[in-house]
Amino acid sequence: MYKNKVFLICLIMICSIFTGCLGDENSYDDDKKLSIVSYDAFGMSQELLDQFTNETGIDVEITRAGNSGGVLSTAIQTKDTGLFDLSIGIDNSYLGTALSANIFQPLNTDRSIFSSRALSSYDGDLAIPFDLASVCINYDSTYVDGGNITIPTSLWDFTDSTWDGKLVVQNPRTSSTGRSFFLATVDYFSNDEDNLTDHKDWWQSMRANNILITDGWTTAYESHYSGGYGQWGDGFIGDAHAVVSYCHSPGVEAYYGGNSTTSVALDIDNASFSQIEYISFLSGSDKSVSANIFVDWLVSSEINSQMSTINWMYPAIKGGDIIEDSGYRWHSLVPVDCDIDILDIDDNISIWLDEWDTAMA
Amino acid sequence: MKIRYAIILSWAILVIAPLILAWNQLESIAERNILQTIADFNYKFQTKDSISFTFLVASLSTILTLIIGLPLAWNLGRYNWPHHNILRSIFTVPFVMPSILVAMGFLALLDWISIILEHNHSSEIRFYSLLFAHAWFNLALVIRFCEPLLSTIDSSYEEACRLLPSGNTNIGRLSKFWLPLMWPNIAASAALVFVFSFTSFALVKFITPSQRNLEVVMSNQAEWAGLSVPSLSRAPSEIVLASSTIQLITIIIALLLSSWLQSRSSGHHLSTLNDGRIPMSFNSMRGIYLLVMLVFIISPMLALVSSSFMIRENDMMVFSFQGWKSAFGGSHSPTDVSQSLFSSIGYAFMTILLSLPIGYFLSDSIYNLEKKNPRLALALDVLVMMPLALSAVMVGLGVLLGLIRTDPELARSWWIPLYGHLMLTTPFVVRVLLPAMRNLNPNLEEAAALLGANYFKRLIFIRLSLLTPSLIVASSLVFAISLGEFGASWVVLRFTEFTTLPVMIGDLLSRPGYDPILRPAANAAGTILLLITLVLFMSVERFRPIGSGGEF
Repeated sequence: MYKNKVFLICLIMICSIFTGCLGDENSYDDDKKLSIVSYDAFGMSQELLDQFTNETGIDVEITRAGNSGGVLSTAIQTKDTGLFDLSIGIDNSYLGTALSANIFQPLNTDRSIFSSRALSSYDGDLAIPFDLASVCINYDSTYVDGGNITIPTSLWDFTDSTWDGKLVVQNPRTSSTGRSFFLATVDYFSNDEDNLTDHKDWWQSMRANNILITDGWTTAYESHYSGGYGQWGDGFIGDAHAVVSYCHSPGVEAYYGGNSTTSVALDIDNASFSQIEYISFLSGSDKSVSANIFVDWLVSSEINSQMSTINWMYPAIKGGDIIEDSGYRWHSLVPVDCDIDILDIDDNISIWLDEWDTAMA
Repeated sequence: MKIRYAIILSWAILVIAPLILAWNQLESIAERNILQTIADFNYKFQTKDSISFTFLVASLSTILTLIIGLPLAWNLGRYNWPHHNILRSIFTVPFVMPSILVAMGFLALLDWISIILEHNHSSEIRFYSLLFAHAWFNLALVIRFCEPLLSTIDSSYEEACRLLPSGNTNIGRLSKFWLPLMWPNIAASAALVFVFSFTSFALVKFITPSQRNLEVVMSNQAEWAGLSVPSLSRAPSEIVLASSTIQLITIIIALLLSSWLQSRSSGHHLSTLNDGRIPMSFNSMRGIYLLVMLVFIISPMLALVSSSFMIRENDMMVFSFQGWKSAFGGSHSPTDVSQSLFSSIGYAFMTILLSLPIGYFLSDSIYNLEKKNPRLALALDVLVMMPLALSAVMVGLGVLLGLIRTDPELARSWWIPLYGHLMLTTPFVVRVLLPAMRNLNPNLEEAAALLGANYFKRLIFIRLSLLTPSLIVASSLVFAISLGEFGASWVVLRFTEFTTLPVMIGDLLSRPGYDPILRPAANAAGTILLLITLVLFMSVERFRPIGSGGEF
């Protein structure tokens, strides 16, 4: 009787082994296959990756890990395992933490090709900038008509009753745009003329003014914001007339909307955060040659200059800009961003976020 | 016997090991104990109101599902409708739909309603939509638990009731005959509806984005939970630890209740092998009711299908095939629909190959233990159902830690996602096979043994032969769940190069939707998944034996 049972189990196991023939032909132990961890929204198309493979003979496999924070956490969790060779998308708000965690190896990239803005947060060989953009408040110009509702000139204006429940931001613990804007508020209120208040006071006032907070950018922009493309999609609520997004989001709206958009980026000095995204060579990987080839390709003039349509961000190289088609550049704002040191962020972010968490409860 | 123990032990390790690994890691980082963290929940934005919201939504969803599901189960169970099998398939297919698609369908439906009413939907409407979405999703549980028993109760019992003084009214018969007969099945289905509403993730995340249940809270903390980096604080590990504890205790109680109630179901004593249903046409009040319910079930699906053909173009929505072209061409995703579908079908077949025999041996073990040691049988039943109660965050963290500590390269193995599929489908195999085993006549096997048939012959020619319809039903269920499986794939599959259809949909939805083609492409891929699942369910429904025991 047991023999028959053993036969059955063996049959099952054989089937399981047989199914193994369907895959796993990769050995991952050569220098010709790069494993990259990136955020979900990284827009590099398969065609471009195939082009890279054709030019260099190096295969690329991209694993998506949520947002910028997800990339960092995956990189830390898999540190020294060699599971990933490169990380794409850790930004300057997380870079201090990443550097403290010692998860990167140096790259040989020529940094003289980058704009000064791209190197403004970090100018070392452990993290190479590949694109950047500013995070700021966007507003719906059909609500802000310049008459009854005027264009805000200070973040304090959003504590006015005209903005009661009409500004939507992202949770700084779960969203990279939310985190960037939160950092901008820290810097904005610590450097403004009023020495009696700081960012905590502003956030508490905003809580009293029923600020909407979502866990991610997509919900804030698509469901709540009245001035974006979300109004044409499923699940639109449209109860917010201002949203935290990129300063060039109106430009992307115009690009896809036939040079037409009601969304406008709010131009307030130091109320925006310059988000710089990096590519890094992860510790534990021994594919230094391939990794350097890929990084050089990504920041090459041919590829990086197209970053405004590849990844909807500004190029990091000198002279790089977003394209002018369909009002893309015309509707995009280049603001005066806040200036906050990445090491300062790393030292204080845990306390700042805990304070925010309590203040907004 | 040894093999049975080996399978039970393997299952226990597969279920519990990731949990222990994740638990140890989180506990080593957390500073505050679980009670301190829970006490602090309402004083932190991340967790505020999440416990009360979770219990409220789960309780109201359960009540609503019973209100909608019981009359439906009654009408499907007591009456024989034209195209009955198709009707039953349509009413039960929502349960195997990927929840991300259900959310998309309901959001699309809300939009159509707001267009018709010329009024944007508010947060309150979204909350009620969430309850209806849960009811829509879990309706199959009530139907599957109650309808088979109802369909085989001999009408003569009810006729006899009518002759008694307390049974001459509808309410009298309901309270004195039907409820005492049906309550274990009703309560068991209610307990499972509660479990699925309690652990709901995608529906809550998409339909009520401004509110969080415990599953969403844990998902939000998932990135940083288990990481010991000073600047990331210990809060994420503490929150996940506390949330998963609340979830685990609640769900285990619900599962114990459900399993205990199912074993108490006495209805089968009155059931016959004959079809006890009364023929009925749609040209009646009951028929109109059934058609209304059909509209309720089909509406979100139709809304999803129609959204796949609508694309925004210069400030207006126009009919277009561009979403479908993109989905099939793969122009906006790493793979196209056909490649993703191929991967999905491959994983679904492999899951059947594994979960069917494992589910069979687990069912067989529970069935045998029920006679010798009912308490142990109950414990094993709960262990089988446990994967449905575990948070994807905990399992994901545990699996990752386990792989990193053994061989990190394993994380990229094509078969790792099978673990998630296996964990989620095997409980349903057991739920299908166990009642079928209980209904088998033990005399048949005993007689065959006396005539000299060995175990293998008895297994092939008697047991498996009699269980064939249930095995087909279980296979279809495994295939459908595996095909639409999103959560576990998302946890582990993202390390591999194999993109399944639900993962492709998730990928399309996770990108900013500036490009007007992205969302219709996701809806098109979702429509394909919907149609395949629907056809599959309809084609195997005829194999479902009449009155298959009052479980799933």
